[in-house]
Amino acid sequence: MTPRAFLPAATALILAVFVAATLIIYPLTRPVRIDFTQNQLFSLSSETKTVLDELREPVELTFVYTRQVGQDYPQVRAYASRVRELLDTYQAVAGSALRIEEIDPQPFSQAEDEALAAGIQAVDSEGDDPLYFGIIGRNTVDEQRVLAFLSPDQEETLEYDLTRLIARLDRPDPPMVGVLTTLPGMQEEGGYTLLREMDRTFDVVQVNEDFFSLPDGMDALIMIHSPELSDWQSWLIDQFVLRTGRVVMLVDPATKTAPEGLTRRSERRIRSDLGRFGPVWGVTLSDEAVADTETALPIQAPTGGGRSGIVRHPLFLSTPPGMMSEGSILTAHLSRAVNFASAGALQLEEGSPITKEVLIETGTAPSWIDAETAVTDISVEDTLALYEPTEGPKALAVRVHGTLVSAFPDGQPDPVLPEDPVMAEFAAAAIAEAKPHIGSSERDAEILILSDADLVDDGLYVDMHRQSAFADNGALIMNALDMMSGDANLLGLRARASSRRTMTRVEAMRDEAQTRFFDEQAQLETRLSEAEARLAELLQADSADESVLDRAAGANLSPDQQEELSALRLDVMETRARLRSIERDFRREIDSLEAWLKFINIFAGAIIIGGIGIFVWWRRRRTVTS
Amino acid sequence: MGGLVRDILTSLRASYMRELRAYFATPLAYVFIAIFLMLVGVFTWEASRFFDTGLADLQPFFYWHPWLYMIFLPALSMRLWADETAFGTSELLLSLPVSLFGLASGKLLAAWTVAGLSLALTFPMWITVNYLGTPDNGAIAITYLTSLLMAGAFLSIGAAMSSLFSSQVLAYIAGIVVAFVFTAAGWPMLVGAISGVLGPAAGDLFAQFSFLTYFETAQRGVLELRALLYFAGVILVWLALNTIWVANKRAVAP
Repeated sequence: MTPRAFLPAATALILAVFVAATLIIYPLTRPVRIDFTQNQLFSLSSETKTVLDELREPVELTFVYTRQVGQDYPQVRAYASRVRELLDTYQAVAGSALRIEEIDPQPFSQAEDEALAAGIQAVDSEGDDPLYFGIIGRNTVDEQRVLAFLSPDQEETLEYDLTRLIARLDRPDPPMVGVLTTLPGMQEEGGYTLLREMDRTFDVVQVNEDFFSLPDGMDALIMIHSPELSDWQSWLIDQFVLRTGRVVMLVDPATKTAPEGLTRRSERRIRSDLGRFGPVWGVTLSDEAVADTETALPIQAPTGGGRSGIVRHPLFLSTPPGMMSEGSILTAHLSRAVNFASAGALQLEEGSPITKEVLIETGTAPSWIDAETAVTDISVEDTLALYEPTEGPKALAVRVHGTLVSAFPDGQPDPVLPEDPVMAEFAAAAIAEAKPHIGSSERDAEILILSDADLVDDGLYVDMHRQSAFADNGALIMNALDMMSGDANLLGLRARASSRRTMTRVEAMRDEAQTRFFDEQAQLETRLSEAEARLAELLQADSADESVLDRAAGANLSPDQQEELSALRLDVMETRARLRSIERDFRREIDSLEAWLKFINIFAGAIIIGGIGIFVWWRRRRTVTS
Repeated sequence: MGGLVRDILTSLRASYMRELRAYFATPLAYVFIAIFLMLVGVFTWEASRFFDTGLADLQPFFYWHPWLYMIFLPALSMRLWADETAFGTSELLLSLPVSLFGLASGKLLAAWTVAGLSLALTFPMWITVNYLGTPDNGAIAITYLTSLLMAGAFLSIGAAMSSLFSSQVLAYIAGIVVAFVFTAAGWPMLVGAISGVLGPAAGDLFAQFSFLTYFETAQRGVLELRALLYFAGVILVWLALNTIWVANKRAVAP
């Protein structure tokens, strides 16, 4: 072969070897990867391996993905590849107990019908055809569970979602969780994210407000701002606690999200408490709400002068993992804060024989705020004005466990039957089936009490735009329910969700500026109102018969008074100008930081390196010339 | 065998030092680094609005790397062989009894060193993000490493193109075209077009050759064996092509 003929042949051969090698190596080395992220976000956890190892019956997963449409979205395409790889890894661990299939639902095909029938979400794409991107899971008894749409934004929770789906299919009878609440978001279909989350894992049963019996076979009960209970209802719950002992209670002295009363629309039942159980368990809820400047949550609120901005509101608390118990399985793995809105404080009775553990508490100097005031849209400024620091942190979440005694020492109370005869008959039938009274726990109780009912509200922890949580409110309650229903594997998994790494320095600067802003603003406003009051006083002393214009001119005042009037007007003007300048200062430092960092990162390096280049060029020219 | 390795290493070292001196003796490397630093800063801070994201991570910074490399690195490598022809040194160089693979490797390494230095000089960005919050430094380190590997892949293409053309401008244009193919193979517009004509499997297959595909996982902080093998493969393939194309010149030289 001549050199000229050799060249194209060798080039083609090398390129062909490269193409072939890439095609072979790509699928072969797919699982070999090292996860360098701090929280090992992209590695299979030991909890997932345990769930897969312990699969009792085969589970079948169908990955539904419209490839043609997905190609147009690089994020979706990359994520689809990641899902495929994760499924392969699952299969490698589970072996024959897990069957994986992939379908590509073409428009108007049988696969599309199958996907839609299973509940896979058809997402509108910019093209004509919808994007299907989800997973259908089935078990041997043809029970079906679906991840309707796999959003690339939620990659951190992919493993949790998938493992939960498998665990749920492996256990055809999910634990039954009863919900007793007056918050509409926890009752309605399409309500709060937490309810939907619970619905995916448990068999959720709503307990009617006027119940005369609790559902049979209920494994756990969650009470969120529950209605005022009759003696009979309290007794039913008391007996459930003694027999089954699995309860999550969210009580609140000032529920911002509580619905208005049905009879008198202006009236809201803002308070719920532990009722008869408090004294027996040795836990009571404060009458007032707590505000805490140390854990104040940044929220969008008016900042004065008709503007709104991000400000830290002491009535909205954000307790970081550092303020939670590290020893409890419920909070140890939480990586993000738990947010509260006008929460109360749980007071633990000294000397009570019941074992209690504080899981979450406030900062060291919180303040009491009247509950009636706390439920209103009180501003940060007004809250700070009412702020009177108390000593020591207040408990926001408490775990009660161990053997309990009945809150009804005299036994079963007499039920009050409804007036409606039909309802009375139903009630009587339910009452007749009630189990006999027991005086102490048949099984050690496991109770989680939280001093805020608003924390289940989406607004406090879910970014609705990204459909992802920014705080661990939901995770805390799901952890409790998982623990109570014996699915401890999911607890560790949920904790792996990454926390958003925010620019903490910028947040701190904003907070500091805000504190300065409010202090000085308050002083200036006091000065302003004093000056204006004195001004009004002086003008009042002026003749009442004069026209407004003349009065404003202060024509009838003595020279001394006129001098004071001028000085006051000047003071008012200056104070107002200073107030405006403070508002500008509020943002100035952050803007200045951005400008400096931008300059350093865009120009400083370039200028230094360019300068060295010019120097080298100049030296070289001088050497050549000489 | 030992002699061959020694020959390669000797010529690699000689050409590496020679090229590196050439880069820094003229303002070329300085100007290149300065413009690169400025543009990566502009894209991160202005196009991606890094500060407004409020997040202490370098995603908005790394996002632009493949596209900036595609434009910049062929400029760094275009002179590697084209210069030799222009200055008439190629005939002398090719007549020397040295290993061409070693020569090509040395030239590539010199350009890679300049690119690596440019990348290292973006360290204020890393300091900035640590100053502003607590980023995942493990993930950042792995993304930097993969970015450096990707730079080597881009440069190997540019160096090979430089050996094909005696004009630096032509070498630059050819370098960008080939680099574009390797970058855009994972680009939705192109993948979509291929999927439309040949089916989605072909689209996926094509995306396997894109730098974007491999760099995407690295940006999450995950080091994949296939990404390492892929970038190493690209570098070796273009280095091999570079060598045989130069060898061909030596063979046909009068």
